[in-house]
Amino acid sequence: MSAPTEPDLPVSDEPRTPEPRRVGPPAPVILPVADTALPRRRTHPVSIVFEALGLGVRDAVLFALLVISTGGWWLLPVGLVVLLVISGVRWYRATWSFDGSTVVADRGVFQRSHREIPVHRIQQVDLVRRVRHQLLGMTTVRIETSGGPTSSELELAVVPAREAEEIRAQLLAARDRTGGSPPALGARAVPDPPEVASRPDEEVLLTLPARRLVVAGLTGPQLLALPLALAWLVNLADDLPASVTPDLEANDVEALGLFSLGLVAVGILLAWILVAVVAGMVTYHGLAVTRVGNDLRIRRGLFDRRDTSIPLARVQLVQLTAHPVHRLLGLVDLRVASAGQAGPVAAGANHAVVPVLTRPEVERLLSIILPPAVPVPELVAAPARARRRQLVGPLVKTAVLVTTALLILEWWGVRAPTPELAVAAVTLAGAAAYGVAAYRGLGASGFGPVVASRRGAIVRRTDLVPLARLQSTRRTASVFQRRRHLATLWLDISGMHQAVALVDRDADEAELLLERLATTDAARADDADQRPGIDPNEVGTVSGTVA
Amino acid sequence: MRTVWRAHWIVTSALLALPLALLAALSSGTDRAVFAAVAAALVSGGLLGAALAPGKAWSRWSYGVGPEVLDLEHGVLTHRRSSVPYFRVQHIDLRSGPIERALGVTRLVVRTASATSDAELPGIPTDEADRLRCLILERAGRDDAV
Repeated sequence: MSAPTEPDLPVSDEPRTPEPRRVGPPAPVILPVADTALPRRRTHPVSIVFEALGLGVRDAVLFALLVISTGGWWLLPVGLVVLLVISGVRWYRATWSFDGSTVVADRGVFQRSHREIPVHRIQQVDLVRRVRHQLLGMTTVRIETSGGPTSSELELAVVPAREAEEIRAQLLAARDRTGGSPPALGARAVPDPPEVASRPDEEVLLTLPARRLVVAGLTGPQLLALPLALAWLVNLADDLPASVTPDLEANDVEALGLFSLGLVAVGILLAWILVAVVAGMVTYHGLAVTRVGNDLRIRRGLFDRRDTSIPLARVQLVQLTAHPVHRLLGLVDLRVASAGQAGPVAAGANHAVVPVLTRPEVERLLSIILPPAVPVPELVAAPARARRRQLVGPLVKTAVLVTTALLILEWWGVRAPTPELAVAAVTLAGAAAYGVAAYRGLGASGFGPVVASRRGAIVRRTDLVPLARLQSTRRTASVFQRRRHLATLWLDISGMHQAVALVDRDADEAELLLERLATTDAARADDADQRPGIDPNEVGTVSGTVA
Repeated sequence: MRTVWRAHWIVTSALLALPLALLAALSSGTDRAVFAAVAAALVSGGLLGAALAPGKAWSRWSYGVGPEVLDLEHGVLTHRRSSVPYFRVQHIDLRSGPIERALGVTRLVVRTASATSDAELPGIPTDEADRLRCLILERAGRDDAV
């Protein structure tokens, strides 16, 4: 990183390969260097404007301050030109090419970066179309590989929609040819002309009727849309000068009467529901899950179109989530995670989500996405002695919290409105109920080609982990767990910030699973077509230990 | 390794106590007594920890280099056991701080494609660490998997 910036240096077409270092017995092998004779491609020139807009937001404020404070209005066009020139130069410097085996991307004006992405490393290709992109018929292509936890490996923003489709088809077709594994070492990959690449037909697996989208909006995160908007409005109203906001006095409220207050409440509720429904329709508009060859494709969105392709062989984890309302209706949200996605699973933003599915629909999708997970492995409840632990945890935490809160109130000289004991009792009862629910939420499958784990007191989440994707396994047992002969098993998966936990299992069972899981043939079978049809009884390589 | 952990305990508690000691020096009256008492408690806690914890932690530490997996077991309050199959190993780091270097030991950190994997072997004699690394790398090279 200490390389001095040398803007005058001619662009070297030879990518710098690191000096081979003899570190161990395996001789270092230098992978074939991508063919750099290919024409360099750029994103669409409109990108300059988008880039300028993106740059502008923060700097525009500073610039506006400068303009206002000096009164130099002539600075305005100058600033605009400078902005466009900067963006233009950056756009010009950002080039990429694809020779059928490697994506080569260069960018940077002063500090230059050169990046090569072997096509077999591609985990996922996303097409994102924001509203402003759609107006101009543009699309952003995001290429995700494993190991980049914070951002996309390469983002082509923006290219014409047609070209974006072509790029994706070429990349995925080339990836399919490599079979997801690196080309033979030393052998130069055959750079097929990308034009020849043909993609298999698209097979529609699932679409959701409009009625279901309404349900999705009503039961999904869209419910928060209105409260958030209101909070924002209230914030805004607070900032308004006092003369603008009407003077609402206590007696005004009284004058309005209960009836009108009720009307207002109903109105707000209706508006809330309406907003949620509309938000759901907008987010999931045109939701379609399809299969193209060995890729899963999920498309959705009315304004911001999202089009995600995940190679089936790269699926790391399938998550089924259901909150109480979903459970009442027998619906679950299905998330597909590959190693290339940024952010924790909980954030969900970059993950492929298919909302509100019925059981049969889930099974149908799973039979394509994760064949060994059908039928969904049977879950075994955690041992009964785990109930105590699940209960004690929230109880102790709440007790500490309530006691401190009451003590602080006492210290401030505030009398609690109701007797302290009543408050404490109600909260503790709530904590106990939570504990029971948490225990009932715990469940895990035994040993198999797919391990399932369920947890959650209110929102139940079931994680389906294919053994073929398991990186390592851990077992932890705290002091309290050991007293009850319990342990938690952690399954580490690539690209996730959180391991999948099998909480409070029997300690012996956890130990056995730990020893068996990671080294089985199922875990080694790192190929999509090898995954189905693994007989759990056949997998029995238990490792011994040499000290 | 016990020496290293011991040093860590002492340094950490001293670093925590230092600002409090400074505050005690700058303040007066009851405040001074309180700050001084907390600082003293921190230091003595650190010394006590340095005396007891490393031995306990060390006695809990064990690892096995199996034919297929690297198996680690450690942890005093929470017992942890971790198994990392060689064919999932992405890269191996060798790390050593100043105290570790003075004692001629190294930490061997094995990494997989998962950020949550836990495979850090502390206190390996430096030449042994190199041998171990070669062994794991050799076994990791047999398969290719992501």
